[in-house]
Amino acid sequence: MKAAFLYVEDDTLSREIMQMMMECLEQSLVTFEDSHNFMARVEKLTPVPHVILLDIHVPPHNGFEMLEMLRLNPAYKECRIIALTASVMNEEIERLRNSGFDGAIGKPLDFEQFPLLLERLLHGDEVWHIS
Amino acid sequence: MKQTFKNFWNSVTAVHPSIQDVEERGYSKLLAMLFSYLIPVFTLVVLRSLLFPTGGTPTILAPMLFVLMLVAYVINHQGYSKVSANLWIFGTAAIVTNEAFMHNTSYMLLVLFLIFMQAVLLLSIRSVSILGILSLIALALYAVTQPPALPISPTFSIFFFVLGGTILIAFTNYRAKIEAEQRQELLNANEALRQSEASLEQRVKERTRDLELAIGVSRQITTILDQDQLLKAIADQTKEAFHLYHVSVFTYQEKQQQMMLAAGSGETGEKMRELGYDFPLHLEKGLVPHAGRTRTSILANDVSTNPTHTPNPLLPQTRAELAVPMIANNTLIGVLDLQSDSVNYFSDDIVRVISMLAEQLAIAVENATLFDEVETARREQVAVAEKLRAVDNMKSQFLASMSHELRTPLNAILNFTKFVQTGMLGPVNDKQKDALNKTIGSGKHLLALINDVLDITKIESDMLNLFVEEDVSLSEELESIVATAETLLSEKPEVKFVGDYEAELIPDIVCDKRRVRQILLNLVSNACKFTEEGQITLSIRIENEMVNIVVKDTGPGIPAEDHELIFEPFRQSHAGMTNGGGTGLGLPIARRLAEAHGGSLAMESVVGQGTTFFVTLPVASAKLLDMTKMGKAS
Amino acid sequence: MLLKNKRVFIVEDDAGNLAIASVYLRQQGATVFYERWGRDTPQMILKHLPIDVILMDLMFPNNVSGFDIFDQIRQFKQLEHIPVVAVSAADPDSAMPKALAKGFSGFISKPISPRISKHIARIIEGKKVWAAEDMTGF
Repeated sequence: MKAAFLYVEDDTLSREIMQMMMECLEQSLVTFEDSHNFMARVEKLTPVPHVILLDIHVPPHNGFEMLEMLRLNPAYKECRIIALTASVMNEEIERLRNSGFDGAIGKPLDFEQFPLLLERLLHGDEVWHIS
Repeated sequence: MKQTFKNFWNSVTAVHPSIQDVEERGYSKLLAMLFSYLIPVFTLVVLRSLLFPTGGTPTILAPMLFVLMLVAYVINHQGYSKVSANLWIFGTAAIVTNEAFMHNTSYMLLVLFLIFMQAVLLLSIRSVSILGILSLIALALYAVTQPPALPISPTFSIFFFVLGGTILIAFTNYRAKIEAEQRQELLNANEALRQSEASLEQRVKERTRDLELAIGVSRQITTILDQDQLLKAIADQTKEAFHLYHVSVFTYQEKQQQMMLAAGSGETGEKMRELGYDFPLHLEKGLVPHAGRTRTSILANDVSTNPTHTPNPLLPQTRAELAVPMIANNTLIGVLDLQSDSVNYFSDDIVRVISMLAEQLAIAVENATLFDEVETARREQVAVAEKLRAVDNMKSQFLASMSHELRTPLNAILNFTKFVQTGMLGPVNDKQKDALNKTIGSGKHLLALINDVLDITKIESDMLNLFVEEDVSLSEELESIVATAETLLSEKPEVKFVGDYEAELIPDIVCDKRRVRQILLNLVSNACKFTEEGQITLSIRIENEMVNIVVKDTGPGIPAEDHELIFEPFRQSHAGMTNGGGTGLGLPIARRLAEAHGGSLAMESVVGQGTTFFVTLPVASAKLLDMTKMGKAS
Repeated sequence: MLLKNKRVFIVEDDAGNLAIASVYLRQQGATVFYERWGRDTPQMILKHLPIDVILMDLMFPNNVSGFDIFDQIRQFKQLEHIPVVAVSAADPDSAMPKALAKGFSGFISKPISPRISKHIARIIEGKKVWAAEDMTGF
């Protein structure tokens, strides 16, 4: 199933890797390298992304702030919003669950697992896959 | 006037100081008073008879008596009261017997009688007896030699003799009896004195022995530092030394205000301890709490009569009990409870000795407690030191193994990727080359992170060791740094790199080559990273045995509030780290490394103008040279 | 060709590390021999004399250490003079002084780079190389 993805990530290599992966999986991907004017830029996107992947530590608004902004807007109610995190701290993972993310995927990305995770997301499931 | 007369009278009737005996003093004073009265009277009589003679034959009685009186007075005044008394009595008797005799028998008898009264008072029994006999002989002689013209009736004489004699005999008997009683009293007093001396000696002996016992106990006990042992020893030894029935030692727990049975003599003591004979300080009954409260010894020499005594079923034979508080430094340490099976065992002396002992024991117990505390503290310290040492050991082991484990995989990652990338394992297209370059780049970044984290850990744990070599060619190092800079700037033609130094003038220095390279590389690569246009200058000057290196760039500069921040670990911003490729640790590590060499790293910067870093390193520091001599480098 | 005609003996238990080092050294013209387990090292080296330099890892299986093998090698008269270089992922701060004290002629940190050949050439020349990190120009 072809879907629209948004990936917010400030690390150049990580963006490139995601782009290559999405190309392989024949999905369409838009990337932001920071969260300046986040909502304004998101609203410009068509179609509305099915899945939004957010790196937690992105300037100036971090992943949690971006999540809040998205949830306030009913247009993105159906979006699967996923956090991408390198954190292994239990507190941070708890926080992710409690904030309302639809899932989290750990970095570095597992090239073999990733397609399966996306499938599940597109089916409407939550995905908590932290190494 | 009165005072002067008093003084005069005193001096006239004064007793000679040589007379110590009280009785004799009395007699002497009596004589002196008698003469002091009689002499003026007689003086008047003599004057009268001289001035107003009555005719007839002038009697020489008065003058002779007068003279005798004076002489007797003087002799008495000189301290010979007995002689004076004898002289006066016998003299008077002799004169009277010779003189008045002739004229008036009744007068003579009367006078004789008076003389005898005085004699009884002033003379000894013997003298009185002699006088009596002499007088009788004289009277007898007179009766025989004189014509019977005496106007005395024989009845009067007999009556007089019998009455007078009786009175005199009664008097002398009375005096003799008094004297005998006095002698007896003296004997008795002597005997009593001797006895009391003997008993005093006995008491002193006993007291000495008790003191010795106490010292013995004290000496034995003060060497014991273990509290439990000490208290048991106190109980047992005190019991033995003073032949007691039982001794208990109570300690006072300040917090709970409790008296706790800490030790007791013998097995009974052990048993009591197991049962736990504790009670609060304010308990009304019992000698021990009372002693603890009042901090004085409480004695019940007969427990059956003492209302506060609480009999103990384990100690049925207690008849006398003494509770002595043990006080050291004004603190109540506890109470020593002594029990005897004899009533009235605890004499004042024993109580005194035991109180002294209790003081010593209190000090010994306090010492044991202090020793305990010190020992515990010391043991804790030792344990802590051990733990710290163990932690340090674990840390260095961890660092060592982490270093190895983290670096090993990177060898394969970096190098195999490199092999593919260079086409060694087959042709690679540009996209592949590009991808592999990115891999290698990330791998190098990872390696830099590993190295920096290990370094900062070592620095913060004070485990940084320099590998110091002599004759390190600084110019060689600079060459490779310059080469690196040029590679980094290959994509930035707007930035020029200038080496401002003369290679021949740069000395070889004593340093850790690798660490100096690390410092310079960090500064130069930072400058190359952040400068977009302008110039980067690397200059070297030698001054005062120090190498001064300056890296100056025309980059964006660092705001004033961050000037100190950049030297603190983990302070580089997230953005700076991600795209700049830095670790946030480079500068803090560089500064510590410079300082470890005995040098320094400082910075000046103005936003919009650029940043300048100043490194100083000693050319040949003595401290570093010492490190090489310890075999740290070739 | 920094190492033309030079004969190098590598004592290393990991195949990957061995391959990497061999590649770089051979690229510079060296002939490379190796022994993987550290058990019969002196005998193996004797078999391949003459040897110009020995590269020695420091950690081997079964608690064998490069320092022990060094001692074994030095027992042999014919092997006394051959310079031995430590090539190891161990922390240089603790390993270099030990290697120096033991009598190693140098220490090269893993991960290695092609520059290893430069260092080995210098060591064969008789210099000492205490080169820890060297990722410059990798």
